[in-house]
Parts: sequence; structure tokens; C-alpha cells
Amino acid sequence: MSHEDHDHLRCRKLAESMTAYIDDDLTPDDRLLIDKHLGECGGCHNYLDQMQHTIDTIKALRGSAPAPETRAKLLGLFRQWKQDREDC
Amino acid sequence: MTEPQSPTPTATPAAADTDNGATDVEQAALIAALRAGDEEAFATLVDRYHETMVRVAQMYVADRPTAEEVVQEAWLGVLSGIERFEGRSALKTWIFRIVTNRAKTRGKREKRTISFSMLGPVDDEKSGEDPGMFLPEGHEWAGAWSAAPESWIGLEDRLLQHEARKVVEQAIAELPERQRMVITLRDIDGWSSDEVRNELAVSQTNQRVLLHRARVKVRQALENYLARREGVNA
Ligand SMILES: [Zn+2]
Repeated sequence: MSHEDHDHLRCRKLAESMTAYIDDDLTPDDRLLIDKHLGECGGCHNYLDQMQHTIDTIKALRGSAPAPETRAKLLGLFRQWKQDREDC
Repeated sequence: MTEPQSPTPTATPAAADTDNGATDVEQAALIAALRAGDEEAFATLVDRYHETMVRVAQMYVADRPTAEEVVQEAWLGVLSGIERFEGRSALKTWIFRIVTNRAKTRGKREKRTISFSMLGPVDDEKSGEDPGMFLPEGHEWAGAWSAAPESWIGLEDRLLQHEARKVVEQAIAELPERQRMVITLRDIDGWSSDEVRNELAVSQTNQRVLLHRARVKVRQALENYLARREGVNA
């Protein structure tokens, strides 16, 4: 790989477009240009990979269910609502 | 009343992953079950949306306990409104509109009126990539990496550790408000860019800029964490 090979698209520009690339929010031409650069530039290839690892790590914060006490409280509200409705 | 129910969590993380795509059939069945007073249907919604609802509410109110209160009110709003819900929007959209409206009202009462537009132009917030990562203007290869990013392949185990999560949580907590909102909804809660644009009334471009800046900072925090660990292990 030589720098001349991807002269037209410097790494900085590509790094700044990474979220648009990951979101698939680019014109086909821009996407092609980036794919070409990624194939030639190890640094940018690794940067994309780091970004994807970052997103995966963020995703791991996604809590599935609420805490059991919270859940129990909400189900209690539901029963109360149902009861009130039936009483009407 | 039916038999006493034990609060067994029945959340399925796999389903939560694709919850944007709750099918029309599933939605219609949930609505019908809720109207019929089916507790399982309500529990399904609670497991699926409650935590995200709290995060959304937290954008508008002062703290987590207040957000929890707001969301509790919102659930009551959902129950009292379900009979009249006409299904013109997705159930999820309708539920989150209730949360947002209540949280905004509560935020105003607490004089904590933040809105995206009041926070100034997006460009006022600090930068994405650190310019120092690239060769400067005037250099023959200006804009190329000054030191090429290294591969994180093989570091997955470390990234999955509790400590790495703490690093990410901390990095997100320190982000400017708008970046924090966008990355929370997009990457933690898995909302689409359209859903985020609607919720926050922000343009597609600004949404992407904010998300990118936020991800850049979290990536940097993880890089620092990995470098520290490297040092410890060396
Ligand atoms: Zn490059």
C-alpha cells in the first residue's frame, strides 16, 4: 500500500464519514470510493473495525428487563387499573 | 382476579434487539390482550420498553427517580388510553409520545426546559476526530493517519468485560447533552435514525454529526482503556 494509491480520499475525510458509512447513508459513488480506500488502507480498515467494536460494546449496555421491584410495582399498578375498571 | 402472579422476568433480549420490527399482527394481538386486561401482555411491554422509557424521560427531567415517576405515570396513561388507541401510529411510537409529553411537562415544572433547538448550533460543540490523529496541512500526505489505528481483533474478551462497560458508561455520561441523547437512543436502545429524528426534532445531517462525535469519544475512551490494560499486562 502506498499513500499515492488513495490520494483522492485522505484518511481524515474517511474517518469523518465513518458513521454515514456504517449507517449506509452515502451515495453509491461515495460508498464505492470508501470501499476502495478501505481495501487499500490498513489504518482506515482498522478504524472502521474499532468503530464497530465500539458500537457493539455500547450495545451491551442495553438493559433487557427492568429491576424485579420495578416490574412488580408496575404489574401491581396494572392489577389496580384492572380492578378499578371492573368496579366501574 | 386470576391466581397470584410471581414477578418472573420473561424478557427475551433477542426480541428486544428487533423490537423496532414488532409486526402488525403482534401489535394487534398485544393491543387486544391489553384491552382484555391480560397481565402477560402488559408485562411484555414493560420488559420491552420500560428501561428505554426511563432513559428518554431522563433527557427532560432532573434525575433518574423523577424519570421513574414520569414513566410510571406514562404507563397509567397507556392503560387509560389503550381503549381509544386507534393504531394510526405504531404502538411503540404512541407509548413514547406519552412518555415524552409527560416528561416535558414535568421538566417545565422543574424549569428544566431543554430542547434541541435551544442548545445552539450543532457546530458549536467540540469536534469529532482529534486532528492530531492525522498528518497536518502542508505535509506531503496531509490528512493521512499520523499513526495508523491498530487492530482490535482478538481484544473482544476485554471489550466484553464489566470494566469496559463502565468505561463506556462513563464516556457517555460525560458527553454534551445532545450527543448523549442521540447515542443513547441509537446505540443503546437501537432506534433507527428516523425514530431519533422524530423524537428529537433534529435534521438527518445533525443527527449523524452528533452520533459520530459521540461514537468518536467513546471509541477514544475504549482505546485508552485498552492501552491501560496493555500496560498492566505487559
Ligand atoms: Zn486511510
